[in-house]
Amino acid sequence: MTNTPLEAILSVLGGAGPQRAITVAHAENLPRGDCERKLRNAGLALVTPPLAVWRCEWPGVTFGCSEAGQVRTDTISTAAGSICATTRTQVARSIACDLPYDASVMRRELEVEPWIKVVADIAPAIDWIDAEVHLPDHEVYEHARYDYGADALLVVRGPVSATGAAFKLCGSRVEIWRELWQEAASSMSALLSALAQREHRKLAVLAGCHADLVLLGGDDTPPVGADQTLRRYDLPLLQTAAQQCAREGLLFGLEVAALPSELVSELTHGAMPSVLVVSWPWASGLPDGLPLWVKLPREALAQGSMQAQQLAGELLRCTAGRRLVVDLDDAGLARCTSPAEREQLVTSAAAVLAAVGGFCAQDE
Amino acid sequence: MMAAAMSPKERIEAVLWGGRPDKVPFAPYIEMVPRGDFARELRNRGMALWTFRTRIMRAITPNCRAETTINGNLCTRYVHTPVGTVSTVVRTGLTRNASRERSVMEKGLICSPEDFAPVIYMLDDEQLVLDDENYWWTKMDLGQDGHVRVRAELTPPYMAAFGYFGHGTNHGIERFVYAQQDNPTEFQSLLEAIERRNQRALPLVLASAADVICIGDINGHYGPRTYRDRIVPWYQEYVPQLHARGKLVYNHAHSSHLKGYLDYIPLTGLDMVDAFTPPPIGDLSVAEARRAWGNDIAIAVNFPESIFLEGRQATYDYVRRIVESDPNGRLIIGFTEMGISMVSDPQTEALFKEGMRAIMDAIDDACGCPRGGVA
Repeated sequence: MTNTPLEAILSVLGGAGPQRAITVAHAENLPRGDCERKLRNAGLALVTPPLAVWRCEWPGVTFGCSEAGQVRTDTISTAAGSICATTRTQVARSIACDLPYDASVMRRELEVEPWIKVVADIAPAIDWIDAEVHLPDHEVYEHARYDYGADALLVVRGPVSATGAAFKLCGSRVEIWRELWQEAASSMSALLSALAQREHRKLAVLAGCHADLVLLGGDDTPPVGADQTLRRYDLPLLQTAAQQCAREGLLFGLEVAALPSELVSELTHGAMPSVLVVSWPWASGLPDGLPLWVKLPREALAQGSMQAQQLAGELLRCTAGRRLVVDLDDAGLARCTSPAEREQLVTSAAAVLAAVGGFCAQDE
Repeated sequence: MMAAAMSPKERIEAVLWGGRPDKVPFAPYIEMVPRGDFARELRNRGMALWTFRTRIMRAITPNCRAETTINGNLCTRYVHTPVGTVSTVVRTGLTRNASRERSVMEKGLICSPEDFAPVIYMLDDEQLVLDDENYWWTKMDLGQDGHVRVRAELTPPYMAAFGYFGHGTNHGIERFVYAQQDNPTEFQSLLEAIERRNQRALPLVLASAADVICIGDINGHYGPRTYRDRIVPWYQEYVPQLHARGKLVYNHAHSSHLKGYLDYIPLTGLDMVDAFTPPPIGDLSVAEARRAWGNDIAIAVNFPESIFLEGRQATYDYVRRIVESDPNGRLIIGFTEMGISMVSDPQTEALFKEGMRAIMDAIDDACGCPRGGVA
């Protein structure tokens, strides 16, 4: 029996079909070429990066940009002042690389200095966040559906964790995060509140979309001391989003890698997610029974096909009873810089695919 | 044609470098064929992915500062230089066009005589740095499934100048024309600044690993005589230098009126004419071009997609006629624009798929290759 990649993934997520596990890769992290085609023919299914079903406008906000050498400085000016972030461009491909749709232009950028570094940056950041308007725009999604056809699961970005978004604005740097909370706790609370409100606004434009899967949460959060903010700002936001998805009959995934297990239990108590998105290896305490979407780290494939196969076997054993999506997203296929490395990663990916399974390809 | 099956990459390289492919390559721009199940089907039959936008250098303007404001779906980008500020306006959030873009430029950098000085400053401020890593990596990624060509930062000045008046805007062409009459000194200074930039870029292009390089276009914004007088001499200076380093040089001839340029194209020394759109969209057939150019110039056809509207058989017959009209010619069939694949209603989708399959069937049949073979 043959099925399409999309049918196979939906069968795993929806729990309706016989398929229990499937291997997937993100389209933007899988360079187009002969190896990609062979892996796809062998059963590797594609998923899109999270697509937005809105476009943003920021009335009253001015964006600036200047470059010196390989460093770009972006500036945002609002009535409350200006903030800037610096980015190193054209970094080594092994450090950062994603491939936009046409695959002939690579993006290789790394943040050097984040938007929020000191207390004075918080007010302009809040102004910027408050100004953000979301206009429904389903065209990207609709075109992606047409373009990918039956070969990919279309993922739509739902609200992200306010705590995670704030932490990212601080460059995911613990020292900045701690310092700001010590010096200006009320400003930080206002920042989180603005971010949570922004994410709530997105819910309005999310209504009525026909995504294969809506992704809620985020993969970044402060390692310690965020329980209160997660509970105050994120729990209500994600619960509301989950209920909306459930009401509209949408499959939704909850990114739980960065959340404490008690919070995950509370989140899954109301509206049950279709899948929990975690990174390998994950902490214990995940609610039983729910399908898992496991992101493999880069090292998983870099160590060779034997190790990759063993890891896949271990994954299958420890998730016995659950449905499973094994995600090669972070496995480095977009970041290899030599034919030898590419060969090794592709061989390892094929080993994972053989062990976990893919969609049942037709005679190709 | 040779008997053994070649990979998509080998086929293109055979055409480019004077070998014999086992069949005419079918090689749309990588952007033109959606990445899903249908593209996989065509690629399994041997369709190549051909890049167009890969670049081998990057540019920075250390003494200029850019600023963007977004009002509704209008995005205004200001460039502040020490001698003044210029701006462009782009309308965003549109339905995607034949080049997969959802925006359109509404105002170019040069709208008045005062705008020349900042633009010339920007050009002279621009520092170019060789960065051909993307070229190497894209080549590695595509492997045998496609071919990488690059766009060099080299363009005949008169051709490049038009872009600063607003390529695609309502008033771009008239501003470009009037500026030459009303502000000849400033216009000449602009051309000289573009040429200074070309002179800085040339050593980098020569030193780069890229071997198939796009330089300029034929856009129809000015006529054949202007092309002969202002463009051909520039190619005659640059192309031999690139040939001396083993580079294959081509242009993007997307004008529908190539007949007027028929005699001038060979004078440029170019090795390939890309985006060659035969009738009924263009006015020059492959056979006519081959008769005039001989086999020195490879022809990369932009398939006139309006043929798809006439149905499968018409598309099949059309492709066979082209292929059979150029039996030993250096010919590649592809798409450089693709409006039909950007429209996602079921009828158009069916038309697109039927047409693409007909092209591949016709190439296989005309070249005596089995249909549906895995590359």
